[in-house]
Amino acid sequence: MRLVTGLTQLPDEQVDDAPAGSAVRLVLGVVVVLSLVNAAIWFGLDASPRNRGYEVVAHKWELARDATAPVDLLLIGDSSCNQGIRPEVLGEAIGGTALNLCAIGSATTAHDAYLLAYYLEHVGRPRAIVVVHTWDTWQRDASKLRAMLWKIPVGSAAWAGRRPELTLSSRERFNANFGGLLPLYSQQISVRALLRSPRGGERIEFLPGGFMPMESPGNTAWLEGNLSEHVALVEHEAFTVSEWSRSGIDATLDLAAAAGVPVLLASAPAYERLAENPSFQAWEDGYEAFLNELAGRDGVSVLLGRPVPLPAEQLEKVDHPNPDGAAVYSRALADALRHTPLEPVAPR
Amino acid sequence: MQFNSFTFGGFLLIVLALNVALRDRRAQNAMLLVASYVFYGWWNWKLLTLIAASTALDYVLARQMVATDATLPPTGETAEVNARRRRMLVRTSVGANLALLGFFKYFNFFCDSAVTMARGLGLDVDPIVFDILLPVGISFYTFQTLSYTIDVYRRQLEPAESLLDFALFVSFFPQLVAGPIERASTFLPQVQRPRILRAGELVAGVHLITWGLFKKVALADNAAVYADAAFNDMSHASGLGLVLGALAFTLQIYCDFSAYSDIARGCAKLLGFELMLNFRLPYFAQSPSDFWRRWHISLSTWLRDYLYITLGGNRGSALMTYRNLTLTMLLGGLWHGARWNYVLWGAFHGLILVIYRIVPFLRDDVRKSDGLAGALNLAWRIPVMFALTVIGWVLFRAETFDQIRYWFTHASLERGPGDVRTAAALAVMWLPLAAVQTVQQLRGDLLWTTRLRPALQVAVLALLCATALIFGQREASEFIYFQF
Repeated sequence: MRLVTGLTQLPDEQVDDAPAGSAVRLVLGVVVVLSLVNAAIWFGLDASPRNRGYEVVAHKWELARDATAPVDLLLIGDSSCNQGIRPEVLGEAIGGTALNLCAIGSATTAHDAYLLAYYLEHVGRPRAIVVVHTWDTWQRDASKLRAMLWKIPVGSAAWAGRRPELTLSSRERFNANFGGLLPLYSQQISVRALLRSPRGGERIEFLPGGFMPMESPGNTAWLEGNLSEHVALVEHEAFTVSEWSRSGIDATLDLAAAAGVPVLLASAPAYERLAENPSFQAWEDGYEAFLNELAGRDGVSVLLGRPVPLPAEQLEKVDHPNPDGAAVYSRALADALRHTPLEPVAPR
Repeated sequence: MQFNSFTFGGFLLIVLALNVALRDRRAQNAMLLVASYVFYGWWNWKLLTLIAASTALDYVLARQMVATDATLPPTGETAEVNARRRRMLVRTSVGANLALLGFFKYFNFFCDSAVTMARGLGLDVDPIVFDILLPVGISFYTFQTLSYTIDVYRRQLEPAESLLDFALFVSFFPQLVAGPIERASTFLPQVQRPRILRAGELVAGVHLITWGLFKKVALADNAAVYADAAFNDMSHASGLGLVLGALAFTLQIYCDFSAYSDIARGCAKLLGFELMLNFRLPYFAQSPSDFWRRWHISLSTWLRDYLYITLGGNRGSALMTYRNLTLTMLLGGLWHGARWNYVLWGAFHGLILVIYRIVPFLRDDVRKSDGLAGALNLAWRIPVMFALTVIGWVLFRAETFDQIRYWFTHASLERGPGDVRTAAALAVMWLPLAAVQTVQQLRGDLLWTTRLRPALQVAVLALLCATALIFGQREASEFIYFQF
């Protein structure tokens, strides 16, 4: 029986003769096919984007690049601010203009520093800077930021000289330079999502000042699940600041001080059921103490030391307001801003 | 410098370009030696002194053996003096290589074990522990140089005349850190003569590298996630979860190690070299001896030629043969690392080799029957050997005896949360491998894809690359066999 013979034999390698150049043709053929697949994915993701974080970061850098004159109030920070602060409300409070350049928590405080450095260098000095981060971004390291460098249009060479310094591996340098052109390589998770449902993604609509309105998901189970995750976090861990986040905020404050721009620090909004949790309050005590420590520097003050509690119907996630919640949070910040003098500080 | 890294990709392209540009064999050899030292020094340049010292010592000792033959012709009275001197030289080589291996790889292990044993006997002994860095690939290159001096001693091989040629044999970068463990008798002639780049070999090299990268990045590294989850915290795994963890590791270790060999052999082909075949679809084995004809062939044949046969092989009584088999497998297990579970794994394979020799219906010659009887025979032989192999991998993967005991007392078919998902993920990884390998096994041809039409070859390789890019693990994780 051929099957028995086939299964009992010891297989071997037999190499046939091949026409000259066939290996080169084979490699080139593979490169061409992969290039076509990559192009198809590029168009697919452009029409139907899957990674909200990439879109946010890219949009905020576009806003910074397109700015022709500095605003009065520049907002930098994470998603709680990106989805939580309507810049026009804050601008109105100080009788000027405002721009929301807040991105996402995974970009870390270092991203604030990079974006601020770019803004100061290419656009100019705002009257004041507001920095907003939610309670759990301070623990993060640079790993997620490294994966999204290709969305930041400054080129990999810029990273080494910037503060906080980001030393890139050869893979990360390649990704920072070519990731945008090679989604097959740089956007693994988005490509998987695209393959699962080719028409499943949608483009985010930003408002002109950089605010990203985000509606609630339509059921409370999502929010409750998100609440459980955060409760588990605050019950098992205490508030800490990673070395990376520390260097990020230090670099931001130093940049502002060098430019003579005052900095206002604010805590993010929080789901009211989380805000009532004693473990969360203990966590927030640590966070507030940290903000007060930063406020010890010249030109740095705390705008909101505790989170603004929001009900379920005003939230998308426990720290992400929907447009209604954003209005409430923005008003709270605007009220605080009205009572805060925005005196320029002597440049260092 | 990992094979699955950008750095290696760039390095290989430069080496390939230089190899083509330098037409002179000696210049190519010099370039390849420098490249190999750069490749090895990338991990830790200080360890280059170790490999250089080992190379120099074995080169000199082998040359001395020939010098002995020349000055003292092996006849009459001088024959005994000659033989004594040659013995002394080969013992120096074996002793020095084993001392190197013993110190760097096993010193702390044997000290710890001796202290544990002494304390078990009620003696108060202070442990001696040195902070020793394990040089990457030391087990591979010391076995390679050992085979060289032993072959020269046995007069089965002429020693290398050129130190450069010999140094390239010891340090040839594609196989330096994880094999295959090459023999000087097959490799040195390739170093010593001009090499011709044949189109068929280059095509085969491209196929091997692509298939190897796919196995490593898409299969082994993904399987590792499930194997680690089960083995790193067994108390949280269900009975079925433990079984799935073992199957995941079975996939991981094969795909990881055979991927390294494939890439190494593919790179060598692109440079005009032929390295020995290291795997022949081991999970199709029907018996333990068949398994060792298919798994890590360069090690199993090394152990056969330099240990099993030296111990007497199967030339003595049946009992002596069983002793030799068991000892060989025990040392083969220990070769993998300084841990008792590797020894246990070796002992397990020694035991099943002996059992398959003793029990009449298990013996290899029974399976020679053809027709329906042969098919029925295979219907249980292959699955049983596969199950035994999986059990062996449990011994190999576990980190403590307690883990081994836990696995064997808790593994079952009892399902836990997440097991269906894990089983589905493993099936997605196992099935394409099984499909390709079934074709390879039935055709008896490991490179059947090179015989497809060119357009189909392009499609197959592009599919493998795209799958690895989309579904592979991204961090350039180390190949498992680097630690051995």
